[in-house]
Amino acid sequence: MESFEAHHFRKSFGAVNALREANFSFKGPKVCGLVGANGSGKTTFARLCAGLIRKDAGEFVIDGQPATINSPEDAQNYGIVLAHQNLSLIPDLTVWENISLGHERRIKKIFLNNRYAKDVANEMLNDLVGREISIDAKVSSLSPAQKQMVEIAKALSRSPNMLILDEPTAALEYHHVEQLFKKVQELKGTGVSIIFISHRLWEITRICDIVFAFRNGETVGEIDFETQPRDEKLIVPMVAGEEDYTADFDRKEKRELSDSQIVLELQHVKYRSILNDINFSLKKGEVLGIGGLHGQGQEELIMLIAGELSSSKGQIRLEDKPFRAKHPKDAIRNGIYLVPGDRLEEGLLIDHDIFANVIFPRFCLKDEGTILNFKKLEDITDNIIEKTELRPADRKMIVNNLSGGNQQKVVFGRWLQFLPKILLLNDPAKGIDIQAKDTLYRLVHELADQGTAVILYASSNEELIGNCNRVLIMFEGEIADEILYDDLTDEKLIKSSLRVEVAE
Amino acid sequence: MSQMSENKGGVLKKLATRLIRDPAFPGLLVLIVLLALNFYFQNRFFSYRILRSNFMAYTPLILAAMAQAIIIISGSVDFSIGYALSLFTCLTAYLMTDTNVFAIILLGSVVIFLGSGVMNGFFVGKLKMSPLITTFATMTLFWGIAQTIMPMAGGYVPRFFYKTYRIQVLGFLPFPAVILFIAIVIWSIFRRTSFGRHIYAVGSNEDGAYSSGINVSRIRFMAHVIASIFIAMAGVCLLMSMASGDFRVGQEYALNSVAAVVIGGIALKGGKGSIAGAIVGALILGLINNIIFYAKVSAFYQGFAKGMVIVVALFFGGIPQWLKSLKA
Repeated sequence: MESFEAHHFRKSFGAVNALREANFSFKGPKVCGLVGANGSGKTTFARLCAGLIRKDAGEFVIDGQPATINSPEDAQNYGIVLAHQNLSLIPDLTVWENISLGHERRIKKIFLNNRYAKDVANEMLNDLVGREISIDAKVSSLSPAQKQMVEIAKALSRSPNMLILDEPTAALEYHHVEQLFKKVQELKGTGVSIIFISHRLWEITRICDIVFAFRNGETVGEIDFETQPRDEKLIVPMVAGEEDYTADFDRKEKRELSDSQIVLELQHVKYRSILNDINFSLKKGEVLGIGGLHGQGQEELIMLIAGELSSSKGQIRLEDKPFRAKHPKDAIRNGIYLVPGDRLEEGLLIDHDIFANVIFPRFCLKDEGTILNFKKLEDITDNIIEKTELRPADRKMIVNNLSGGNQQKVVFGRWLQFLPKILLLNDPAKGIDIQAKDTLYRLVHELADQGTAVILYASSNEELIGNCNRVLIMFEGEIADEILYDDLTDEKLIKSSLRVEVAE
Repeated sequence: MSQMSENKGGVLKKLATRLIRDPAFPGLLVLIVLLALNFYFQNRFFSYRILRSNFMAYTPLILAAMAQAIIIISGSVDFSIGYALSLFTCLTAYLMTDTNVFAIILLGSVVIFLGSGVMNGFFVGKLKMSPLITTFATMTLFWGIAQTIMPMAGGYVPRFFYKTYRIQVLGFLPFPAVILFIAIVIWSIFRRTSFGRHIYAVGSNEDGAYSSGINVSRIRFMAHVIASIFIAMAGVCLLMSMASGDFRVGQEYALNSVAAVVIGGIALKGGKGSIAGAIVGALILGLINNIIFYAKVSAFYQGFAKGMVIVVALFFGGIPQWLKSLKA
């Protein structure tokens, strides 16, 4: 591709502005980096280029001609191919069937040319990983790293003019990354441009010719390495922003915890290849934040404590006794309550009323009798409705008819009928309005005042800074950093998430 | 020399593992057990005459199960298959007042079955409506029309037509076996086209298929339309074997086609399994009837006995999925 220009792109999903003013232009062939914090619009931009979603506004100019890309076929016609972060592979088909999927070569326009497809698959994979992956294996039997390599091979088999790699290295082992970088350079040599999306700045400075930074859906800067030094420290301010928003945040007071006893302790906890040697302890009345880039194991960590996932490696101690939740009911019976990340799928009986949703966790408690005392349970529900300021304040309302914020109040509020020992919050304010958010965090702090220990995973730094005593930063399944109350700033969180040294 | 035999052993071993891992394998085991039981109760089971009559009885269900399999693999389902068959038998038996309107059969099959396939495919594929609701609605529609046309079983089917079902092609092949063979050939051709692969992709991971550039709604639509070819063949066979029209046959085929598919190891959520599995499943359901009849089970318990065997067969079919869930 001689040149690629994307001007003034805008895209919103409902009320969320994923892209506000994205610009991305270069003369090729080049390896272009694309960096940005969580939710800065990188993946949205990649999907727009690949024709998977439609723009709200914006214009592509390819090789000097205006271009329309509204479907995957359009993108294919311009030779733009995306290797997905959330893989596009079909688990029930074999590796070679996946690599040729959607652009199968045919004999006499009818019959699939399987021999050709297998040859291409072999060629593409050999180039990338040698003989490590058998083309006849079902994709469902591969490791995450192998799947990622197949995804890249699939993209390469479409002979792209411009290849978009969306966080390809997150799932890969070191030697795979090296092979991928070799291939990227080789492709550039044959005139292919590459857009390389990554959180790892050292990878960007190593292979890219130019890097663009997105922040809140806007292109906020670019660095051309031909004229500027390859230095990670130049990229960080673009990603993190110059201004310090922290001053405006309404922060809760620092909690005095020196006398509090430890409620929960994790020692050398592992889960598959996702969590690796997790150690931390949690005190009574503490609000502990979990931060870091998306998908570094934060949700798995919370699910593991809640018994949604189960691992036999390492030890979890609850009030100084070994504790292992094999099932969510084990956690609930021990006073560990979860507010899940996806309230519709994991948190609510969507077609039932508020009353049913509030009382149903009681059924896994041992001392709940067979015959229910409806009067008592209705009082409990009304009390929760009052405390959480649920609107409409009617326990007979079907949950499906409530707004997102009020639904979340139901999910959260049901735990108020018990005094939680530990409350696990998985991004609780996602997609809810500001009043609901305020109410929710006010109640969290009320619980903490009464001795509940809280673990809060939030994708927005504002919530972490506003509510937490300290924040653990996770990176690739490990706790990479710990930031205490006094050091908690937006800049510090972003820099720590990106794993670059923070210049004091 | 020794190396060659080693290679041969390797190939055999590979084939054996492939067979054992096939989702239809538990069904195949059940089928073998049922065949043995059948032979035990009905000693002349493997005689030519009995085999032929079994072919005549099972072919419509096998064809309906093949159609259902195509649809289910694509991630949809069709409950209207049964009453589309009802409607076809009633309409043809009603209209066929004399031998000369034979052409109506062909026309009727094309119109009714392709029409139902296009209709279901349009709602499910293009309008993205729930296949469960859509085909339930079309099922009720076909049922209503069939019952209006012919409230009682009957009608007229020309003698030469139903006699044809009983002829032996080349002097030894039962006619339904030939139809079945043709159906299998038609499917093997489809299996080798991109459609044959894309239904698996769409049924297994819709988003992945879409981002691979596959037109998901077109594939679903096509799955319903192409399946209707097999339903049409089932309809013609059914009419030939019954030699009359009856709106009640649909009830049996609606659920048995789904049960056959599940017993044959095809995942209800789509993307997994083979057409061969559907054939195995349909044979199992047919043989169950046979065994219950020849084992002289009292008429009172026939429903119960049949239900029990189907539950056991489903259980075996479900074992591979269950083992997988344990591993995860």
